[in-house]
Amino acid sequence: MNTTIRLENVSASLGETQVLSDVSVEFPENATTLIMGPSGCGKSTLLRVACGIIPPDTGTVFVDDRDLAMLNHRTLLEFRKYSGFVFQSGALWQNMSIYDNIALPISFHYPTMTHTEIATRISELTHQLSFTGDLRNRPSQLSGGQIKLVSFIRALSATPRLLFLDEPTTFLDAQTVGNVLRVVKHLKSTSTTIIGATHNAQFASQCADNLVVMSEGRILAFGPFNDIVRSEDQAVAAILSDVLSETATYAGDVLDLLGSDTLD
Amino acid sequence: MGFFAAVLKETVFFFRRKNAGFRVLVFQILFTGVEALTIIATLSLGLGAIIVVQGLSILPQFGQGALIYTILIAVITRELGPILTAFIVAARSGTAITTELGTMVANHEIDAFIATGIDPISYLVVPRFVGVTVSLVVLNVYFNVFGLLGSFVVTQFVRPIGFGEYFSGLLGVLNMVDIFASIVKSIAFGAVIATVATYFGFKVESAQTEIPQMTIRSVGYNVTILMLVNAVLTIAYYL
Amino acid sequence: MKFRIRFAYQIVGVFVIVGMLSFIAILVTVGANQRWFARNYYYRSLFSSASGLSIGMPITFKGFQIGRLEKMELTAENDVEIIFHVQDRYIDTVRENSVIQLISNPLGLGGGLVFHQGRYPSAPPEEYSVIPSLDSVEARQLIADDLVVLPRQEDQITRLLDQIDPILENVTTLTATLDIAVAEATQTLQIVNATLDGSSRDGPIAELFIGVDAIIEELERTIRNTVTQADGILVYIEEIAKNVALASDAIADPTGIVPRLLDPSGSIAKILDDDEVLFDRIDGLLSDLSDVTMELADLAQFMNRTTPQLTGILEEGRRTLATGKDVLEGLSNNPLIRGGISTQLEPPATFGGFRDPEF
Repeated sequence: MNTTIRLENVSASLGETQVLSDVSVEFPENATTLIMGPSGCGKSTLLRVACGIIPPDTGTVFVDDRDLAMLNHRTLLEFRKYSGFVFQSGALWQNMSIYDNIALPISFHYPTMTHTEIATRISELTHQLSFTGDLRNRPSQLSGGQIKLVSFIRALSATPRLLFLDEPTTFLDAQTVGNVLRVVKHLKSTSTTIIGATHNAQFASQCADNLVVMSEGRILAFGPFNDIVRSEDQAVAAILSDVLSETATYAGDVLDLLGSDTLD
Repeated sequence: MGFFAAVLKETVFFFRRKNAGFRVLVFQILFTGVEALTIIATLSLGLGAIIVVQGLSILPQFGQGALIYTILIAVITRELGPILTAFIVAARSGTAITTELGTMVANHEIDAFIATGIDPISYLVVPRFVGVTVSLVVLNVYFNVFGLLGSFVVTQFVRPIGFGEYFSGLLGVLNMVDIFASIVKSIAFGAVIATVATYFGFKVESAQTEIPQMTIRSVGYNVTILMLVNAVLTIAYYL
Repeated sequence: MKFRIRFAYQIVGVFVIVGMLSFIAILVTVGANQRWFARNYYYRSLFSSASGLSIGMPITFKGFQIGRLEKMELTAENDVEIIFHVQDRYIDTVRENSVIQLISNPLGLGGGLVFHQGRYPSAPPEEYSVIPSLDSVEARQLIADDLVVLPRQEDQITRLLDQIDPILENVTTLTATLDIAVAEATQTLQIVNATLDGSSRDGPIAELFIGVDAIIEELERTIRNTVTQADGILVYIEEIAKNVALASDAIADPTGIVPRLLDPSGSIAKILDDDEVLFDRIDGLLSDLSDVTMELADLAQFMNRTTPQLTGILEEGRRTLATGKDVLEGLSNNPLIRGGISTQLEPPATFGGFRDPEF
């Protein structure tokens, strides 16, 4: 299955509030597309709609040029198998142990896998992402950073070719961010399509192939990372600098923030 | 109603495919059935005792002492057995299910299930649906066993009669239709409780504060619908 | 981990399995109680009319329900064909030549289909074969050929009257014997009296004494004779007393007697219907008998010194007869028809019975 995701004239709302209005965007295969924009602009919702968690009010989401809402059960299951989602809050299943949280997607998508194979796979993943906590614990016993990490591990557990990352680096300490970066880069090298929303300049500059800039439920700019960063559009530049103000202590050149690592 | 249809459809699939939901089912029965057993047993023992004490003090005045068996069967097996177990399960497990699912919605755990490809209805609702229904049927059986046994024990204090006499008296008035009616009621009540509880659990949208509101509504709707269904089934029994 | 979490599967398994087992146990006991697993054998029968028949009507044999009427329909020949079943545990009572009888009851009490067994043991006839109804030609033929066991007509009144007959006979015999004895005794006493008060001067004094001796001997012989006879009667009366007691019990049982009393062809109805002539006769007879026995009692008291038993027996006999009279009166005054047994002032016994009734 091709993992290109395309949204056409998509509008979506949470309750009474319209969050996305007439969004059309394409996330190309085997590329990392990051969505940037101020908090509450609809990044998370865009990710959820693109992933099919929230059905759009109007418009269509295409996966491999097929309407996501019209996929039959088998194809949808295949799509889910090859996609992973890292939630902003982690969204771990509270009534399961960490181990079961990671194991459930594996056993669900690979019913023939034995317990030993699953255990091996889990230890591989935890090692890869340097998770050191006790896997028998419940999510409530973990810190915010650990939850995020476990959520990342869970998203990767079923070997996705399409990864949705909703703020993958928030709550993480610098070293763990480094681990996540390493893994994302590795995934990029294994031609995984990554769609993410982030505020992290380091993450954006090191990983992004394409950039989507959003404001108030609309797409302001969409294109290759370097083009967007060097955009002449004042609104885009303002948003980028606003978004990155957490990491940038001065309203300087966005390029200084984002461009440092892009040439390697 | 659409929700109920989806649950029924997924229930059919649930038994066809072996999946992780079985574990959820087992735990649901553990929480709904096993843990409610004590309260059900206490309640039914007491109820059987009350019926016998009252019945044996009033009925012989009309020379209708043998009617006690008919009353025991009508009250315990046909009426109170199913509806009391249903109320207790609605109060214990119905609220628990609504709260649990509501919390899951608020924590985006449901989104996580969807993103993983696990259908929340088949994985979360169906095991609870089946679990609550099975628990209710089994609890109803226990309710009957304890209720009729309890009344026997109390009879020993009031007016000692032989075990054989007591049970042949009971079996004389107990017939297949009573058992059938009792089981049908349990199944219907189980379906109602599970459907209402999960439905209101999923009605939580994002805020934690919605959870208690939905739990209250879940209990209210449960009691109302249970009484309605009970009335319909009781009328159907006499038709 | 908590115990119930770790052993969740086992606990839930036990919970569900025990529940299911209790349920199955209840089902099986209810089923066994209501005979689901027993096989029924089906037979047919033809009646001229369906009146008095109803689906579910029990089939009884010697008072036991052995089956039920299942189905009935009108055949092309305008007969009513019924299909009934016989439970497998009673199937051995079904023999060749059995017949079935519809007993209807005007008050709707009792009644039903009564099964009469064939005379000779045989294997049960094939299922769905015809068991003729009592009114049919085949059944009459079977009865005429004495191939059917029909119960004896158990009429309590007939039985009672049968038993009263020998009592009367015996009492007559006893009275006659006593009459003779008394006559002889009187005669002898007269002679003795005459001799003693000197009115008889026909012979010398020695002859007189010889005569007295002879008289006394004769008296002794007569009395001894009487006593022997009375002993024989005693046995008889005892028997009669038992019979009457039995009959009284049978009559005293109102549940058994009521349907018979109401039977328009029953003997009581006969007694009552001919303006109580028969009844009055029996009643009068019994009153007379009572008087006679009282006289006998007096007589027996006279003979008390030699035969105290006789008094006792006669007293008992009198009481028995009085009871019999009460019973008959009770019958005529039956609660369903009139109003109970009238209390009777019983004259005190002249002699405490030799056999105490309570003994």
